[in-house]
Amino acid sequence: MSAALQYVLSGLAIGAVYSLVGLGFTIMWSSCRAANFSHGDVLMLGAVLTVVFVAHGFALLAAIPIAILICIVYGIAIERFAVRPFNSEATGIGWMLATIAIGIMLESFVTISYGSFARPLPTPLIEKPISMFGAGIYPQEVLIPVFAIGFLLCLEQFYRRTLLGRAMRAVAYDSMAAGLMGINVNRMTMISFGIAAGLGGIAGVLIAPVAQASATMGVLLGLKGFAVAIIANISNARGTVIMGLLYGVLEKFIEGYISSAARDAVGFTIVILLLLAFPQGVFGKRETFKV
Amino acid sequence: MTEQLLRIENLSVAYGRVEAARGISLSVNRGEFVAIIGSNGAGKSSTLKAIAGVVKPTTGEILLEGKPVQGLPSHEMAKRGIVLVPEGRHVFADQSVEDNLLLGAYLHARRKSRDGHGLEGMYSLFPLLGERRAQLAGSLSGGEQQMLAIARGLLARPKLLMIDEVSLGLAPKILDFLFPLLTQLNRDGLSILLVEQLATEALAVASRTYVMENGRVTIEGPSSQLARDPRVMEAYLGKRAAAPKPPGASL
Amino acid sequence: MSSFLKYFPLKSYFPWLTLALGIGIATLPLALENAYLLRVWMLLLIYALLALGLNLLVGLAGLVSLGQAGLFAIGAYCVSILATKAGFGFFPGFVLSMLLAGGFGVMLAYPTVRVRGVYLAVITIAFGIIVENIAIEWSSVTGGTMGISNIPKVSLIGTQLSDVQFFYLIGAIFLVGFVLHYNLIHSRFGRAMRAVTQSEIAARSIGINPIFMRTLAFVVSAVYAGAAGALYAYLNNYVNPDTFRFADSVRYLLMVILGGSGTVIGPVIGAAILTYLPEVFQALGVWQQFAYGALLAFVMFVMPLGIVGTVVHWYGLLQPKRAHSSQPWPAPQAEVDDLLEHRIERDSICLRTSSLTIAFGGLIANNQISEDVRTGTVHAVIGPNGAGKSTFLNCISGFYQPTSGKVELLGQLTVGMPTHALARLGLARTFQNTELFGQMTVLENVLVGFHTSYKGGMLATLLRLPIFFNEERHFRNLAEALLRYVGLSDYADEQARNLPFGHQRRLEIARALALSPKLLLLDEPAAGLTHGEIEDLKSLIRELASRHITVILVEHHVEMVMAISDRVMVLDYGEVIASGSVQEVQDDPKVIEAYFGSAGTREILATPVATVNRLA
Repeated sequence: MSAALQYVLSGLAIGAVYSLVGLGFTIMWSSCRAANFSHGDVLMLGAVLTVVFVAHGFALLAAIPIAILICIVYGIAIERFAVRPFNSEATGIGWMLATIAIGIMLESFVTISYGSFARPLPTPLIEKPISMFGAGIYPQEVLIPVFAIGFLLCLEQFYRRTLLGRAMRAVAYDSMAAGLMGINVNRMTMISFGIAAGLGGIAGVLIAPVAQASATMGVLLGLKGFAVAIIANISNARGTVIMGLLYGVLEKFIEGYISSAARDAVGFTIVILLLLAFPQGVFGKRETFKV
Repeated sequence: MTEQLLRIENLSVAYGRVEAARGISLSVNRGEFVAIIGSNGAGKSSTLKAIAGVVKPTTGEILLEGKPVQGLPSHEMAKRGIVLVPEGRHVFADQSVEDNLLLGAYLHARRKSRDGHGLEGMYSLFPLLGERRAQLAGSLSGGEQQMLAIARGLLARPKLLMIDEVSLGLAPKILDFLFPLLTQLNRDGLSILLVEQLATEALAVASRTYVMENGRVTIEGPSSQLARDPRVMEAYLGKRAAAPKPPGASL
Repeated sequence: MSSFLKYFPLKSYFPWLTLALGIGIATLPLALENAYLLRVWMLLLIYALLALGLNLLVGLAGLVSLGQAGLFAIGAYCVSILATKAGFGFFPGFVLSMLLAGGFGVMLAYPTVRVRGVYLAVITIAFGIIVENIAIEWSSVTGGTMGISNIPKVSLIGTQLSDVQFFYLIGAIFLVGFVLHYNLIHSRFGRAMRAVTQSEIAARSIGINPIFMRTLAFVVSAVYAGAAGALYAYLNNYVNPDTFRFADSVRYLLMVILGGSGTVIGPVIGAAILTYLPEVFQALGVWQQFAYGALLAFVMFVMPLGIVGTVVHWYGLLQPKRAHSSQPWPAPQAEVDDLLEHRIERDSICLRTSSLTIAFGGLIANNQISEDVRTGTVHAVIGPNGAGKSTFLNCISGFYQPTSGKVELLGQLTVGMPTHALARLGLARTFQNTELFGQMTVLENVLVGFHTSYKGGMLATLLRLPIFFNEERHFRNLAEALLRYVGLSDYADEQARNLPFGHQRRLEIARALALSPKLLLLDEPAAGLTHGEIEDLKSLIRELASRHITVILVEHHVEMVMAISDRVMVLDYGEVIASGSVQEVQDDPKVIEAYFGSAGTREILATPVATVNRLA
C-alpha cells in the first residue's frame, strides 16, 4: 500500500514534468502544425541558467524570471528561424532536423561553458520530505503537479476568456479564417512559441532541484513529453496533461514492479501500442479522409 | 456621385502552374452592390481570395480608395476594411457563437467595451444567433453558420464586404431570408461584392454583375441588362437562348 | 523534402560510376599508409551501406525514420551473439542478422498504415530507445553497458581474413548494396514508391497499394541497416550500447540529407563526409559537437536538396531552356489501339449503383442513388456546387465507403474493395485538382500507370533478368505512344509539375489510359482549360466511347456536357433530381431551379412566351 502510494506520488511529480513539456508541444503545434523538436533543451536552458545565476550570487527569485525570459526569447527565435522557413513542407523533415540542429548546438554550447556534470539547484522546498501513510515526498515534488494542473486551468481560461486566447484558438482551428478576421497569424505563432518556451523554462526550474541541472537533462524529458502529447492527441491540452501524469505514474510502477531497467523499454512499447490503437491519440477525434 | 472604392486591374492568380484567374479587371463603387457569377472553376473564388489577401496575385493591381494594396496579407487587408466571408463559412466550430462574433470584432476590440462591439446589433439582425449565442458554432445548421459568418464579417466593420457563395448548400427558405438581408445592408450604405452560383438570385440583388468563365470576365454590365442577356442563360445551361420553354408553353 | 530524381544527364553513367567505385575500393589499401586509415575507410563503407538503405526509405518512400540506429543495433547484436554464444560463422550470422532486422522493418512499417509524419517519427524514436534500453539492461544476453567484446575475426574457408581482406569483403558487400539500391530506384518499384510519396491518392487510383510499397521500403532499409550492423560488429570485434543512440539515428538521417536524398550516390557522399568529419573536427576540441550541429543547420538552411541534389539542380538550371510544343490530340496510334481494345459488349451494364447512400456525420452527401451506366456511353453527372458529384465518384472508385447501397462494376460487387484493387479491375480516374506525380517526368507519370501490368517480380528487378529489360522496353514504348496520343511526346523528359495546366490534364488522362480502363471517371476535366483545349477534350471523350470505354463525366462546363453526353444525371443536395437524355434534362424545371435558384424558376416559369420569343 505505502509502496503503491509512493509510486503514485513520485510518479505524479515526474509525470507533471512530462505534462509541462507535452503542453509546450501542444501549444506550439496548435499554432502552426510544427514544433521545436528539441523542446527538451529549453527545459535544460531554464534549469542551467537558474543554477548559473544563483551561483553568480543572484537571489533565487531573481534568477528564475531572468532565466525564463531568456527561454522565451530563445523559443521565439527558434520559431522565426528554424520553423517558419520550413513550415510549408509536408513531411516535416525540414523543421524537425533544423530544430534538432539548433538543439545540438545549444546542448554542446552549454556543455562547454557549464560543464558536462550535473549540478543541484538548492531550494527551500527540497530540504525536508513530507511523509504520509508511510510514503515520503519533497514539497518540491508536490509543487510540480500542482503547478502543471494550475497552469492547465489558467491556460484553459486564457483560451476561453481572453480575446488573445480566442484568437490563438481561431488560428489553431482555421488560420485562413483567422487571418480574414484581422488576426496576424504569424504573430500568434510567435506568441505561442514564446509561451511554450517560457513554460519549458519553468519546467526546467521546477525539476532542477529534484533531478539536478545538466546539459543533457532535456533530451529524454523532451522526447517523453513529445510522446505523451502525441499519444494524448497533440491538439488536446487537457488530455496531454492527464497523459503526462499517467505516464509518470506508469513509469514508477514499472520501476517498482518490473525493474527500473525496463522502464523506458516497457514505457515506449506502450507508447507505440497506444499509437497503433489510437492513431489520432487517446483523446483525439478521428479525422476524415479527404480526396 | 459615385466614388470608386475598389478597383482591380489585370489581376491574375495561379496555384503553382495552374492559372485560376487571368487578367481580371473590375471595380466596386462606394455603396454599390456588385455580383460575380459563373460556373464552378471559373475563378470567382480565387479572385475574391486574392482581393482578401488569402492568396497572392501573380500579376495585377488592387486599389482600395486609390491606394495599391495587392500582396498584403489578409490581416492587413482586414485592417484596411476589406472583409471576406469565405466559401464554406469557415466559422470557428470549436468556439461559441458569441466568441465567433467577438473574433469578428477582433480589430476593434481593444478600443471599446464589450457592448460597444455591436454584438447586440447583430443579435437583433439575426435573432437566431441571439438565441444560440452560448452554443458551439459547430452545432449550428448550415444556414445559421452562414448567418454567423456574415455577422462576424460585419463586426469587422468592412468598407467592402465580400461574400463567397452565400447560397452554398442552403435551403431556399434560408436564401429567402439572406438575400433580402443583403439588399437591406446595402441600402444602409454597405458596399458588397458577392460571388454566387445562383445566377438569378445574384442578378436580382446586385446592381451590377460580372460573368466569369475560365478565369476571365466575359460579360459585365447592369444586372437588369444581364438578366435579359441570352448568353447568360447559355453559359449556365448550354442552351440556345430561346430554349427554356415553360412547361406547356409549346402548346 | 522529397526525392530529387531527374533523368541524369548521362543515362549510362551508372556502370561507369560503379566501375570507378570498384577500382577505387580495389586500389585503396595500396595507397593507405596505416591500419587506422583502413579502418576509417571500412567504417565509411559500412555507414554508406546504412545510408543507402535509409535513402530508400526517406528519399523514395518519403518516410522519416529517427530510429535507424535501433535496426543497426539489431544487426550488430544479432551477429555478435550468434558468433560468441552459438559459434556461428560469418555468413550464416550475417544473413540471419539481415533477416532479423528485416523482420523488425515489417513491424516498424505496420504503423504507417495509420500514422505518418511526426507520429511516425515518434514511433521510430521510441523504437530506437527501446532497442538501446534493452541492449543496456538485458545484460545476460547483450553484456549490458560493457557490451560483447570477444567477437572473433572473420574467417572464410577456414582462414582468418587479414584487415585488407576484410576490407575487400566489406567493399564487395557495399558494391552489391550499391547496385541493388540503384536497381530498385530505377525500376517500377522505385517509381511506385515515389508515386506513393508524391500523391498517395493518385497512386491508389492506378492500382498501387501504398501499404505494400511503404512496407517494402521499410524492410529493404532495415535489411541494409542489419547488414551494416553485422559488418560493424565484426569490424570492431565488440559492440556496446553507446553507438546506437538517438543522436546516431539523427546522424544517419543527416548523411542522407547532406548527400542528397533520393539520389543514387548522395547517401554515399553524405556518409563519407560524416565519417571523416570527426577526424577534421578533432582539431576543434570541445567545439566538435557544436560544429556538427552547425553543419546540420547549415545543410538544412542552405542546401536542403543535399550536395548531389544541389549539383543536379544547378546543372538543370544551366541547361539551355528548350521551348516545348504540344501536338494536336487525340492523335491515333497503333499501339494505343491495341492497348485500349476491349471486347465488352456495347450496351451491357458497365456500372450499376443501387440505392447508393453515403453520409458524413449527419450530412447525407449521396442519397439513394440508383443509376445504370451502359458500356461505351458517356454518362455525365452535373449539379450545383456541393451537390455530391465528387462524392459519387469517390464512392464508385473506392475512396469512400458507402453507408448503404450497392455498387456493381462489370457485374461484380465492389463495395468494400480498396481503390487499388478496383483500378486493377479496370477502373481509372482523373481528379478535380489534377493529381500528378509532380516531381517525376512526364514519361514516368505514364509509365507508373503500367505498374500493375508488369509480370517480372522483385527478383527479376533486382538481378536485372532479361524479363526486366524486355518489359521495361515494352511499356516504355507504350508510354511513349500514349504521350504521342495526347500530343505531349515533346515534353517526355520534363517534370510533370512544370507543365502548363491544360497539359497536366492531358497527362493525367494518358496515365489513366495506361491502365487500359474499362470505366474511366473524369472529375471536371474541362475546368481551367481554354476553349481550344475543351474542343480537343470533347473529341477525345467521344473517341474513347467509340472504343467501348465507358466514361463517367463530372463537369460544370455545361455546353460540353450537353454536346457529348449520351445520358445526364443531375444531382442536387445529394439526390438525383433528373436523369435522362440531354434534351430531357435540359427541359426539366427542377434542373433549371437547381441552377438558377427558386427565383429563377419563378421568373422563368412566369415569363410569358412572348417575352421568350422576343429574347430570341
